[in-house]
Amino acid sequence: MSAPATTAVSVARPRRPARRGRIGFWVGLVWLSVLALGAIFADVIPGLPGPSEIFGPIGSQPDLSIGGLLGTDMIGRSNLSRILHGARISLVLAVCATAIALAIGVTIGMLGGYYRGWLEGIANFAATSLAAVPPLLLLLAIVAAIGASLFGITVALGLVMTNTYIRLTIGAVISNANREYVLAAKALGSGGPTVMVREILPNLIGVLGAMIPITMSIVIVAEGSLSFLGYGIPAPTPSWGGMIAAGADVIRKLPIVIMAPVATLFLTVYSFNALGRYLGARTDIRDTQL
Amino acid sequence: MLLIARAVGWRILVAIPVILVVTLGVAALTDLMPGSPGLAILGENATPERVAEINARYGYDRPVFERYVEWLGGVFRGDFGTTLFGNVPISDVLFKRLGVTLQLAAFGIVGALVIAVPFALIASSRPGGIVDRVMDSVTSAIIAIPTFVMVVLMSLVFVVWLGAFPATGWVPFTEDPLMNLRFVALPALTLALNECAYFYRVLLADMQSTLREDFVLVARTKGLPRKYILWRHALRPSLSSLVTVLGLTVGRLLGGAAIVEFFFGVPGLGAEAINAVSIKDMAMVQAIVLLCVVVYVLVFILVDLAYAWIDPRVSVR
Repeated sequence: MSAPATTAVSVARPRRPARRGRIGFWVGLVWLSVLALGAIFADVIPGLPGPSEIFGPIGSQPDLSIGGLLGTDMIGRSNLSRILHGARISLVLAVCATAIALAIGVTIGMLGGYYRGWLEGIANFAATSLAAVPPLLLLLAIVAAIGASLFGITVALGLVMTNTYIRLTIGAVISNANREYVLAAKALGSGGPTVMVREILPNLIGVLGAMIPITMSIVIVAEGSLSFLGYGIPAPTPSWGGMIAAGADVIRKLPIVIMAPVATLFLTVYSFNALGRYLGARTDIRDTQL
Repeated sequence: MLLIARAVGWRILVAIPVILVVTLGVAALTDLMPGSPGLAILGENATPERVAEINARYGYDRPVFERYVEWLGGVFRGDFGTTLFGNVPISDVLFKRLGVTLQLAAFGIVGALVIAVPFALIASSRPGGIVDRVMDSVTSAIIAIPTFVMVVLMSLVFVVWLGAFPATGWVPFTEDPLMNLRFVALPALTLALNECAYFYRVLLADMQSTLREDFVLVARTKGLPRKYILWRHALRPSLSSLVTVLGLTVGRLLGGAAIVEFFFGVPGLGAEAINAVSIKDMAMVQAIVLLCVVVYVLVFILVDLAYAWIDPRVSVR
């Protein structure tokens, strides 16, 4: 800390976080859209070789052909093709695992937050138990037992991420449960399930929505970590983590092999985080001035 | 004092079911293995006698509950069973590995704090200033770099380009402290860079709200130097979220430093977990999970106590 101690501490005024993250939000949205379109149409893009096809010389620099746009890897396969096919795994996994976490977490969280009592105890207990094991360790243990399949890894990742949603939902439901609109719905004769689904759930969209992109980025990183360690979706299916692990072995001679997947992963995680941050700032009502 | 003892006792009591459920869940995982666990562990080419021997030794031929209760009894006697190959007591291995991981995690966390705290204080005192804006982008970038990419980048810069540190390896501190520091430096620095972004974000947010409080205004009008206000007045009341994140980080690093340990060849708990998973040594996995859960519980008891120190209005219940 070398700043001069001459100026006084200024009183921080609440900034407008929504405006601050807007550029990141749009950059993220554009990148993710391009990536998703690329992943969907990877098989039909003209000039793009298959992910396992030997396309050119090993470790060649990027050129202007479609297949060579990001260079080739250490056995001459197209990096772009492998990245787009790897994106299928990453994105499908991100969506499915997040959906699992959301479905289980919100159900348990709503029951616990609305009825309180022993249901809340069970919900908290489930969240604590899931949080108490380091996520990567839990994933590895599950994969060791049931083997590395897309289905197994998706379910395992979904479970690992559930505790966040349980906690978030309990808190949000409790703070909503005594609001006037809930009282009104009850006075009109609505039962518990109706109030929860029709009245409270729509008011949770802001809180949960901001968490969804964050969860997706965590899931993508977790799948990458598993693949990096050699426990991901088995070869020959290309995955970003696997590409990075392979590229790390040849980083001195062929740095291009690792650069493409690293840049892709970085941009993707950054984009999801920027989305989450922007949505979080927009729905965070603490800083709103009346 | 009595109150604190009661609070700690109550928390431990509440944590016991969590520990039991998690370890039982991991024990039950072996039942999901295709075929018999012995067969899944040893592979298709194993002789039936050897498969039966493994199944009998770890109790895989009996129901989960029976096996679990027996394992639990062993744990209370300090007996975690033996490793799958080599028959070394698991507790011996764990003890050695835990020491290595604790050293690495401690260095990493202290390093992260040394980076994060000063920057957070400067940034909070000048919102929208150059430090605030630059650190906002830098931390966003760091958060978007997964650990397994960070280890590759760090190794590229510090080993391949600068040649400053050995690529992989480990010497215990007790054998040769200087060599130990050479080996621990790069993995610890990697962890520190990874974690400092979160520490910075969390502390900055709390500092910003603390600086809006009246007592800071009073300190300013008294003419106290900025540095003094930041470090002596504003820092302590702004620590509560940081302490929570610290607790989470300690819990996560025990098993979650796995990638760093694996990549840099550090023989810690995480590397052992990866090794155990690769040879399907489920007894070892189980023991590591138990250790992590217990540490998680203990860390959060400390976190709760720290809240009371940070803000004396918080009473420990």
